[in-house]
Amino acid sequence: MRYLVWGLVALLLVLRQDHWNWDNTELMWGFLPGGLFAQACISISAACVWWLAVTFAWPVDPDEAIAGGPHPVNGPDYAADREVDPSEKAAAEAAIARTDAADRENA
Amino acid sequence: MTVSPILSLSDAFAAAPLPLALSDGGIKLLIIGCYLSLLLFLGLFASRLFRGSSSDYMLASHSIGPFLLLMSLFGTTMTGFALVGSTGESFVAGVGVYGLLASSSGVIHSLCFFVLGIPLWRLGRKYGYTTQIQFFRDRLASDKIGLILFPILVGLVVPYLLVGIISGGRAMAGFTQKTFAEAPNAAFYATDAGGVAPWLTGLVICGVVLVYVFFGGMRGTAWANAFQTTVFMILGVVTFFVVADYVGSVSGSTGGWLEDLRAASGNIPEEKLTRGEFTKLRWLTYVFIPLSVGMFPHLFQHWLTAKSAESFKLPIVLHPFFILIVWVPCVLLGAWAAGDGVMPPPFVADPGANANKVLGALVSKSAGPVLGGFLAAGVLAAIMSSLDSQFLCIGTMFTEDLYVHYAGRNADGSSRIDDRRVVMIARSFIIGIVAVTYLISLLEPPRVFQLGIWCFSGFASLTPLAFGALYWRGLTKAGGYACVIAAFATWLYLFIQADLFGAPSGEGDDTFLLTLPFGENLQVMPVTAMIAASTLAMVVVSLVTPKLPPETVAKFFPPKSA
Repeated sequence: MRYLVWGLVALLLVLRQDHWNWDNTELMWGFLPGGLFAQACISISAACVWWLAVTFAWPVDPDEAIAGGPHPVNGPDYAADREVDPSEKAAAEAAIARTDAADRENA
Repeated sequence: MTVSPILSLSDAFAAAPLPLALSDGGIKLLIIGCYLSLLLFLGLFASRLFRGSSSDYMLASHSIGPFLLLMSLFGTTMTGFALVGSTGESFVAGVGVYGLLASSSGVIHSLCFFVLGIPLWRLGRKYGYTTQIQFFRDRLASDKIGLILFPILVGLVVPYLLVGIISGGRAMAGFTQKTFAEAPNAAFYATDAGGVAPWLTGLVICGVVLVYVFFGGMRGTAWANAFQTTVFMILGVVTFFVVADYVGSVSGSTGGWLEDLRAASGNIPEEKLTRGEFTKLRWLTYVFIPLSVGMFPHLFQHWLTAKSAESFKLPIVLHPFFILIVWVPCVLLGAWAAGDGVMPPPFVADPGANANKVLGALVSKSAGPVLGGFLAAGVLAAIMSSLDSQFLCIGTMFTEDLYVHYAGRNADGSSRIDDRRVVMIARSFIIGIVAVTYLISLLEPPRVFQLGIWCFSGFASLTPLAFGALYWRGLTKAGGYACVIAAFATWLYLFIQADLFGAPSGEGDDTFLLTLPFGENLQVMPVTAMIAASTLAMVVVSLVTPKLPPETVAKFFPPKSA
């Protein structure tokens, strides 16, 4: 579903180019210019596609606990500025290596 | 002739009320005054809920739910251009302006909310960010990145603020024409045509926004945005039907509203129904402009106010639909105005120069002072709903990224400044920024509207950095710097090439286009080259420079469990 949603977003951007309406002088229902109608349909379709996105391709794990972080006045711990515990560094490198390996397998 | 504000204000106001009694202009000013009073009341009421912390002042304690987030994001991204500019552009270039400016924004803005807004909100909540620069300093493990990003971001927001204040002044001068035609001392506070002088409108706008931002902080701003967005959306639709009745009758309709619509649209010149005013490549590359929302610092701050990730769902879905509700009626009004016999000869003779006056003129012809007053209030609503967020955001950046960052920490990293003092400092900065911006607006910088497009292009050219920071583990510190420097250098080079201030003035469609080297007729929006340069620089430099420390990468790309 995720791929379908992103495909539809790309399709909307392609349809927005609608060269076939470039010289359209038709009036839909006698009052709405055809070119404007087509672009209004893009807006309505965009709302529908984004509904699909938030319904079926939502990126946030609902179970993930979001805890408030420290206020930066106390200084976000800039990695470049602080002493790093070697064990923490080794654990992070190992975890990244595992993730890389998993990504390669998935690819 | 507009006179500079050197005379006594009390003299002016003492003389002004009497001639206004029961006049059309007086009714309009009364409605606008009531609207501004309501806004002040809302901002002051919001301040009663203020909890006293800097997080509450700058981010409303992350308490903004879906509806308020929808309204504040939409109100912030829609400026006065959405009502006045869209009508004027359609009058000049036809209905194609909707596809050029609006439909792509519907797709791209929501895309940015979805792929940038939600992850940045999560990181902001997790690590306590308030500003973009805090995020980039942390993500690139570089303190100095703030020093180059800060002047660029502030430098791009200030002209955007000026566009709001100056366009508000001009719009009010048009809406209130003849109000002060015979008032004493009118040269002080009125234009030649008897409208409210732009310096006075700018002062009132800045004053009202300052009061509710100063007291209400982000919560007051969000509430005011929701109120103002509701006002300008409703007024846009009401104006559409009232003007349809007038234009329909001019165009020969004698029937109901559907016949009015058909008669009005039947009178649109054929060239305004097509896209003959645009080239296909310009149309294609204009799609990059809305990417600017990915790096607007004021939108970043609004994203962080969300109560939960769920709060983003409503804005993402309804944003394109809201754009349609505001833009389609205005674009149709502009195209109708181009019809035979609708506008007076001066408008037809020089449509470019008169574009921004079309909506006001249509309303004056088709409705009484009451709707005119409400529409003027709606235009001010659209303008102020952007200004407030920008003022608050720049105040927050000066406070957090400069003062607190460099002067607010002890050597051991602990806080040196009490949180209430941080709020006081933020408020002081906001007063200073409003004052400086207002004073600059009095100079009426030339071609400020064209400058607005350049600001959008500048923000858009920085958006690859936001994408890279969130989705590419390979982004390096040098790559981040290269992206920012390339974006700025390309922007500056093309800006000089465009010779914005040297070219003959005029408010018509004089957009600078970049001619591609492999074809004389291949012209693209300059933003295309800026985005290409910043992206290329970021990728190439990141590939050949040392990686970030693994713990930094792990902080932003948490390893999957074994």
